[in-house]
Amino acid sequence: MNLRPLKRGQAEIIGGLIVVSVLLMVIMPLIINLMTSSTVVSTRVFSIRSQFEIDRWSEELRLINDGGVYKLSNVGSVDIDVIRVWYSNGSVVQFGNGVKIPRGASTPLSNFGVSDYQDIDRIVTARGRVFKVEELLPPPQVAPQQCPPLGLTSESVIAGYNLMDLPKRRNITITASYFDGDKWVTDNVFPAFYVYCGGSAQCDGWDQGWYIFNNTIRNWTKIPKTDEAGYADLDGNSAYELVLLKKEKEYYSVVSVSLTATRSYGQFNITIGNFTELSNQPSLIAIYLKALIAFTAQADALSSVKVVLTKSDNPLINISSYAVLSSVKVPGSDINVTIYEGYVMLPVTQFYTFSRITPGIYNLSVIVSVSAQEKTGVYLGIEYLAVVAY
Amino acid sequence: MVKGLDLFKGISPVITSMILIGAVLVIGLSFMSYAILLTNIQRSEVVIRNILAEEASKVIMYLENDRRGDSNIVAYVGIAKLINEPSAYYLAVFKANQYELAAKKYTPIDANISIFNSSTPGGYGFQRAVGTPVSSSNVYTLSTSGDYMPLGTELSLYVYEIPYTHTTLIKIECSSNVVGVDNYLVIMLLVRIDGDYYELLQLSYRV
Repeated sequence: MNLRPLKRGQAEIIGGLIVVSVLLMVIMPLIINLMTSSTVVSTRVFSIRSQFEIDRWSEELRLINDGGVYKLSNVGSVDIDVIRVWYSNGSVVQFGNGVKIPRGASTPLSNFGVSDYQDIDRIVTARGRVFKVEELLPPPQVAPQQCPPLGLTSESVIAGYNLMDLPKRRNITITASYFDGDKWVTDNVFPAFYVYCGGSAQCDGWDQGWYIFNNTIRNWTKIPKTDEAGYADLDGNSAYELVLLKKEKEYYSVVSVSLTATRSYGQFNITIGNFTELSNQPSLIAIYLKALIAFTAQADALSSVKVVLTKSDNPLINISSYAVLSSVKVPGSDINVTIYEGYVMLPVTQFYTFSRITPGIYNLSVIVSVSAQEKTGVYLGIEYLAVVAY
Repeated sequence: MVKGLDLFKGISPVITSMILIGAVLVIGLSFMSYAILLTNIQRSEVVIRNILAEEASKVIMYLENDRRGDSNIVAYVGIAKLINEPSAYYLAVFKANQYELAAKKYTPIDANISIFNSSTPGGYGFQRAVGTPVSSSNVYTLSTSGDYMPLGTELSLYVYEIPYTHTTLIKIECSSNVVGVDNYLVIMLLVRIDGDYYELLQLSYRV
């Protein structure tokens, strides 16, 4: 027998292959085992925790008042176990196996040892949710705010009466003055209106004719004047208008501010005292009005209407604004009328001193300013005036 | 005589081969043992991580209530288990400022720990817990790299055993001066594995 020794190179290769095989066969299964085991655990862990968190954050409780009895209602999508309750006095009570509230069900607060929700500070569930009691209260029911339509209704308007009924309002006074381009006229100026009864002498208990407001008796007084009735309805729509009369000697005439090129500015000032009471804290006041300004000549004139609310017992408290009203010029044969109609909003809480001391009785003033560079006479009529508070 | 010499000439390559194969086996086995040792070490770390991950997924910790006095803070921490199975937890209390909190560097502090026991008469049911002093080298917290690192070597702290219940309420009371204004009170839930304590969950409360 002749055993030939293996060649050197072949032996080394074979040895190397054996070593590599040993290494591969031992180590690879260990590594694969390690990777597999860690993956299995993390998937299971993730699944358990995910489901728990979904359930936990699906818990939702609400406090309801069921016929005077306060109950804790489960409005979430999972059953809830209440395990602890913290009371307002700082103590805490744990409920053994928990007070179970199935999904959609309610449980009275008496199950937690109280009758009023204010005795509870917070509620703890088995899934670790902590509900503060104030979070469980239902949102306050806010009554829908009633905004009156642009047309006036008796419910929404707090001050707006027809001329005849004004005295029925508490302690109404009406004062007027005017600036005739040269001086202020405050004496013997009377707010007035004309009752028109068609062909009859009387209608609705009123005699046809002019009436002026008497501040002493706080009522209308009939005067023996029958002319100038046309100035009491400037737009001819058969609605009474409040106009100004001046008394000179024993004769009453409708106030007309005469403007010329040199006396180009005039103003009418009507104040209705104790017109409205603001008892709540309104955030917005709207004043609806229709004012008519008549010019006797075709003058190029500017006019503005301003409204002022002044507290009756404290003239320092007032808010005012120019009324940006719609206007239309109505041509006439001898008198041209511009009708101003609309409402002006007064943002109460934005005035410097108004918002803090609103409640009380207020006077309403209407200031109508006119200016013209040519000779013209100016007449004023106020058809309606109303105050709406929001 | 010539036949004997031939026999010796034949045996030499066999012996050489046997020696070579033997050497390869020894080397291979040595490497294998070394590889097994390394993988075992790695596997034990992985096993610990898996245990911690699984335990952390089964428990939640949350702040149930808190009270602040002029000089002290009381935090009420709730612990609840997802799965109703017995396990032993431990609690430790630390402080950290906002930077330390982000870097996960905590300083142990003294605090009064009480555990709610509904059967305790009076005192709202809280029973004072007794802490066990441990060395910080035996406490492992999760570092910013995601590895568990020992808390330190020169510190000592107290860990408080939490008796097993499905849900637990713990009262932690400490002085605000000890924690420091604008610092955080860090409440850490630990689990014990082979004599070492590992961080499971953590809750930070700003003072």
